[in-house]
Amino acid sequence: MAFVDLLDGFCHLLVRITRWVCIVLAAALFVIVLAAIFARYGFGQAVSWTEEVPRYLLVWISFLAGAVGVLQRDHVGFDVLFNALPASGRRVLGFLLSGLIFMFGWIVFRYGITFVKDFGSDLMETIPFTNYWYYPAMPVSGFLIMVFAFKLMVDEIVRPDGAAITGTSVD
Amino acid sequence: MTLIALGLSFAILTLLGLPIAFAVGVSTVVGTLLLPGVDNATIVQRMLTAINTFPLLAVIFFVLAGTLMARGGIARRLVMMAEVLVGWLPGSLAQIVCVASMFFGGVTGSAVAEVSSIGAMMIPAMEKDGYSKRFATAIVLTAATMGPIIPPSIGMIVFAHVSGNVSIAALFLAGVIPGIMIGLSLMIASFVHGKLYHQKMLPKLERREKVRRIVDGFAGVFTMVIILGGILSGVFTATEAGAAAALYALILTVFVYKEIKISELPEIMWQCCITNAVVMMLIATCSVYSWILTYENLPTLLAENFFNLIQSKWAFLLILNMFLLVVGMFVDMTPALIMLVPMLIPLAQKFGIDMVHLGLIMVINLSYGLTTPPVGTALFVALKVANLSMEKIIPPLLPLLGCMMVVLLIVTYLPETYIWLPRSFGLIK
Repeated sequence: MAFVDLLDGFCHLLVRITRWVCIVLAAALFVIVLAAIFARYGFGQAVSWTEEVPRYLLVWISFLAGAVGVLQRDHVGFDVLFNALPASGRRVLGFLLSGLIFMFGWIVFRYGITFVKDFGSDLMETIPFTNYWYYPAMPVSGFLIMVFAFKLMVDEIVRPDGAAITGTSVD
Repeated sequence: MTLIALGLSFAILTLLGLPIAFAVGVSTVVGTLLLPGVDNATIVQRMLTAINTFPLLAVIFFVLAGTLMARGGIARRLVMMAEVLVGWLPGSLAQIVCVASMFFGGVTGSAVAEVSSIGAMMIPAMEKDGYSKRFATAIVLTAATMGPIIPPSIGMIVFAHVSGNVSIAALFLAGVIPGIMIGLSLMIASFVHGKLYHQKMLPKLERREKVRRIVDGFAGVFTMVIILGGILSGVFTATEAGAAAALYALILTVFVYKEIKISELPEIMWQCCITNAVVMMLIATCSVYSWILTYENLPTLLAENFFNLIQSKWAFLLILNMFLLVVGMFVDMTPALIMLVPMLIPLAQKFGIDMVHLGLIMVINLSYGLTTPPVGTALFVALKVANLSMEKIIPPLLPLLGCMMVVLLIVTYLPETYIWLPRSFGLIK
């Protein structure tokens, strides 16, 4: 089971890194939007990049945390039929559904790289940086989705208590 | 052919249990196989551009404000304030649930957050006071529908984003009166229930205690003043109002009430990132799906072949309500909004229906959908909190849903009842 332990450790590390990156980016997002309000009313100064940079931070946070949501089964769905299946049926179906998530992660990863290569050198709107700073959110997210979906597939095979597929709503 | 493949693949994958964001994503990949000119690179590009907009930042800020308020004891203080305001009425604890949910709706934009915060407190308290667990759960659940209707509202932010040119401020303000009407309708139901089954009254509070509770509770209600006051006075955009509300919640819960430790903040922020990501992944993939449906002319096909049969605005509104209630029984609010809004806008325009009116009707219907079986995510949380099975909640749920349906019909057919509020601020012509 060395491979399974290695995979567990790797996923754990990825989640830890992603978690802290997201926390720092979200804190930065919060501070920038508040600072823009203070700058506008305190100093009469509207700073143009405070509209643009938070959007890029949101993109990073959403796609990184969205990938971790795969592993934590946070994404919402309809699990009534899934849960009505016997344990063995849930494991087979859980494996196949995680396989589909893996496939979608591959599309986001593979074509995300194409997208970065084709358009990454374009300049951002208000600051002198290229889009290489935020387009890579897509392939990175695709890679994480693939790793986490793969771990779910392995779990369905090696762990007897796998098989739950969705989380609760945010509405 | 493409449309059928898209619809079938989405329906089958969702029914099998694939999370909706990925069921939609995989279906769009199927779509690219059938559509010349649409490739996977387009999917990735559209997913990214779908969430690269400033107004969507409001979601994470309102989630943060709501989470801080819920964890920081604000829900409890709102319940205590509600006891002062309506605890003397028949059906006292049920009345308190309605009023506290109304206030908490002004703090959070989510029905699930309402059910888990108010329900965890009030269902055991109501049971202890002699109410049946079934009724207690049903009233908490139905009152939670005010969460996405009374501003702030994640559903309304999503509607404004998808529809493109509808003001979030107008939608927020349009939700105030219908939200209060739902609260009042549930209070009437609680009054009748109290008169019929539960005559017991709560002990009287001292005057000083009453004042303390009102002051304490108003600190929570002030969030709504920041959000609506800030947006309407033009001080903030909706996104900035969300950030200001989150800052206020942070100061209140960490530094004033000291119910949240600074060391807990990273974990709270991470939970908000995950909740935000769940919404954004849905928006990202559903936007691509919706774009393919539009690319394949589905709105026009529907308008020409199906809705053409409907000649009157009133019939259209009735069918729209019925359709949305059925959709809400199976699909969550965010994906339903993203996929349906582009289809419904041309039809609503054909019948001269204001976009704010359409948005409000959609959000109300889909909020009700969160409480109805077989798939009601707020319902699932309520059942979990109460440790109750689904068939037991249905009898007390039906009359309460009936009361809310009356409000839905009033809002649908008599828009004058609420539209004067956004109109008086010049947000609607």
